[in-house]
Amino acid sequence: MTLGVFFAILGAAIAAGLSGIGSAKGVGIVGQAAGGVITEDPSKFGKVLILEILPGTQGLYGFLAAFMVMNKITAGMSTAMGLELLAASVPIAIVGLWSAIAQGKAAASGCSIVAKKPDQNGKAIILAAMVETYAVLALLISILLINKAV
Amino acid sequence: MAILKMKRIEILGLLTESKQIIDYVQRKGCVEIEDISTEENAGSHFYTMPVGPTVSQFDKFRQMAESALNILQKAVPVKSSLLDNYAPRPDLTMTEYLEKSKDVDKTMTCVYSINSAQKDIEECKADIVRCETQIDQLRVWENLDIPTSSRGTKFTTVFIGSLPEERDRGQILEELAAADPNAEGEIEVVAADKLQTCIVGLCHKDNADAFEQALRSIGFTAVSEGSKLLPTERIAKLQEKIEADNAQIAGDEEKIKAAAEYRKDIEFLEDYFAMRVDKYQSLEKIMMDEHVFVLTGFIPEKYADKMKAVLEEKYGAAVSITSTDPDDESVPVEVEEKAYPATMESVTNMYSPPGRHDVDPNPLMSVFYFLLFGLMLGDAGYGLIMILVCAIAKIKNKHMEKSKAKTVNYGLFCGIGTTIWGALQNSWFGDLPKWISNGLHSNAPNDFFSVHHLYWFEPLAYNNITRFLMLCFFIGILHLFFAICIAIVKNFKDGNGFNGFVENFPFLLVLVGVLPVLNKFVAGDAFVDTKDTDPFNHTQFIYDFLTNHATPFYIMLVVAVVLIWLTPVFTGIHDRKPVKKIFSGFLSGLYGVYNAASGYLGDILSYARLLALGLCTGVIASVINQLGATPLGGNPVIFIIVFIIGHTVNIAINLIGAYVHTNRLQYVEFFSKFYEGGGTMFQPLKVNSKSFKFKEEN
Repeated sequence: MTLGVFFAILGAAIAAGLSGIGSAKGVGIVGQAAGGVITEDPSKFGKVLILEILPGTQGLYGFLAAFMVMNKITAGMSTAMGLELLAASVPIAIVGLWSAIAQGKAAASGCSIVAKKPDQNGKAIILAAMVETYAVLALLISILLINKAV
Repeated sequence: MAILKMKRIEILGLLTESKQIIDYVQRKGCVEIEDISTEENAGSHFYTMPVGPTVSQFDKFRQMAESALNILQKAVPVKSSLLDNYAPRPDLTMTEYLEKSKDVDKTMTCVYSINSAQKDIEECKADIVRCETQIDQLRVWENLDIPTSSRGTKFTTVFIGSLPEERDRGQILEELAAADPNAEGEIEVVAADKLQTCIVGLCHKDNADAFEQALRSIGFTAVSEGSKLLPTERIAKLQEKIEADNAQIAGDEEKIKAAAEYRKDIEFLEDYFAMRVDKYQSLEKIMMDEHVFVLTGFIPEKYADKMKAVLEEKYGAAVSITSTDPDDESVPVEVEEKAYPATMESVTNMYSPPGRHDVDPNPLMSVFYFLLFGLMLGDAGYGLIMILVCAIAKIKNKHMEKSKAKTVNYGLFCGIGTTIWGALQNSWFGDLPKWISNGLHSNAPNDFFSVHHLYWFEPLAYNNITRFLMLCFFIGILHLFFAICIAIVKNFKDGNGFNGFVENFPFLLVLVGVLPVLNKFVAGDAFVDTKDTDPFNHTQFIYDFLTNHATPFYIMLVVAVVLIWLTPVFTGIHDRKPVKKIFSGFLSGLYGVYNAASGYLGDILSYARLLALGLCTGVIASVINQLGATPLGGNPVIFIIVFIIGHTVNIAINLIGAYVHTNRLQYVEFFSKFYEGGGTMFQPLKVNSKSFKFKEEN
């Protein structure tokens, strides 16, 4: 294995790893709030489930970026190429980590909307989904950068 | 169709006819009763009927019927599949309804007996637990051959109780002697375990105090409750009680099971009381005196004439229909749609029901909705599953009710969109066809679809990802373009055409003008490699065109920026003090340019989620296939297990993702351009029944 392959694997690892941590934390935060809502009214499970899944997408984005880096890995790849892929993985890794937690908090507040005004759950979803835009943009730039690495 | 025109209805009728009239209005379900019992009528001789106690009584009955149904469902479960939820409710004519209503008292007795039987069961179960705890406590005293209440004989005193920790007789006697040499007596150990030693102490009456002192000093506690019966007898008695309780439970359960045949009647009962609750609640909003009553409310215009005719002819009421004040925001809004746009209603209402001056957003939204949804889920296999499920629901329930048909149709169209986009991207459960065509050994591209090029492009092949991204932006730009056109048309309809046009038109130029900019920054030099045979490659001419003929687009962009800057100036011309307005317009216009640049850039980039979510589904699906195929070199059994579990999870997660983000694009990017919302939903007095629906008799 060359150093290039190592760096590329490192890039894939941080992309999937950090955004995975973020999603786990975000989903966990919403899960706690959702549990509170369900103890009061179990019929709201469907509504809070949607909110709980929202911060989960960052993990998928990280996974997607990792997969694309993996596709680029070739035996005997140069160190420069490996470092490029590592650098390209950074946006989704960091933004994925941070935005998933932020989105988790927004969605947890959304759970209280669902608890008090269940018919307004659309607004709760939108408030939380706004955060996701930045994860999408980070993934976008990661993908474009991975594609640019030569 | 569209947003229905709402009329105000006033019904004046004889009090004696009031019941029939309200019943008729409820059955028709097209009048929202307005509460007129407030301020303005407070001083008149009209009064409202106090209905609070009646409503709570009916509601109590309804709850009892509901709990009886729950008890029955637990005792004698009726299996219902997901599909049964979509079955239509049986029809009931008015005569049948009246016939059934006669049996209400009988059914109510049945409900009482079910509820009391259940209460009985719960009490017996609690009793059994109590008895069992008592038996557990008595077990240690089983060897005691005198009752625990024994206090002694003529010359002796008996102490029955326990000492902490396990000790034997000798040990206890030694300890007693050590505590007080005068404490003479006899000790018998009844039972001993690690935590306690149960003993009987016997001593001469004269010596009792000293003996008790000594016993206490080594930690003796007397048994708390005394009984004249022997412990063994008491255990036997408790066991008898448990048996009696069990028999009682069995009897009650039989009773509940026997009542299962009345399930349908109880369901009817629940609806019957629910209807009465609704009816009596609306009675509170009606004003009456000794002879007449007045009801006012809202009715959609299309039902108004028939309602008026029937009420006047059949019930002798005086009905007046007047038009509503167009600026009165308290007037409720009712939307009626054809089957296809109706699928959008729940999505719109989740945002906000349309206001009175809004255009009906449902048909407009349905143009792009399924296209966006399909692109985000983007797998033909998953789409086919959705189509299949919805088609089965439709075929099994031919006369589905409207509200349920909306949900099923929504799923069906989403499924179609997903299948189309999935097929275009050659994603059938990810790369399943490739694995199958290679006998689960590899996913090299030699399946039927790739050999015959039965797809448009594979997102991850060659440089397609940048083209795919550009495609997402194109779709987004079209979507936004459409929204702005709607805004312009809407403004013309509202008689605000000039301002609306001046404010919105420049954004159309921005959306077109930005194309080569996107092309340059996103695609850049990524299109150099054009040797591949993907049909997607044929779209290259678009990018070449954008690169080579960028100038007109840039001019458009510049014109747009100038126009946006000058917009406040144009709209200020019609103002009373144009000079001041025009001057301040130059400044606020500058802010407008910044807003437009950041806002529209954000809007367009937001459509990148189409790519992100679409790729996620496909890539994860392919990884699942790989996970299934890799161990044991393509063992079909393992493959099938991994396939089923993995794809179930993947479809669930991505369905929710696609649903949420399609809605987001509709709400934030699309609605923000023209839709105001904020309307009050039309909530007519109607029959909210679960088990039947009314059928009109002629």
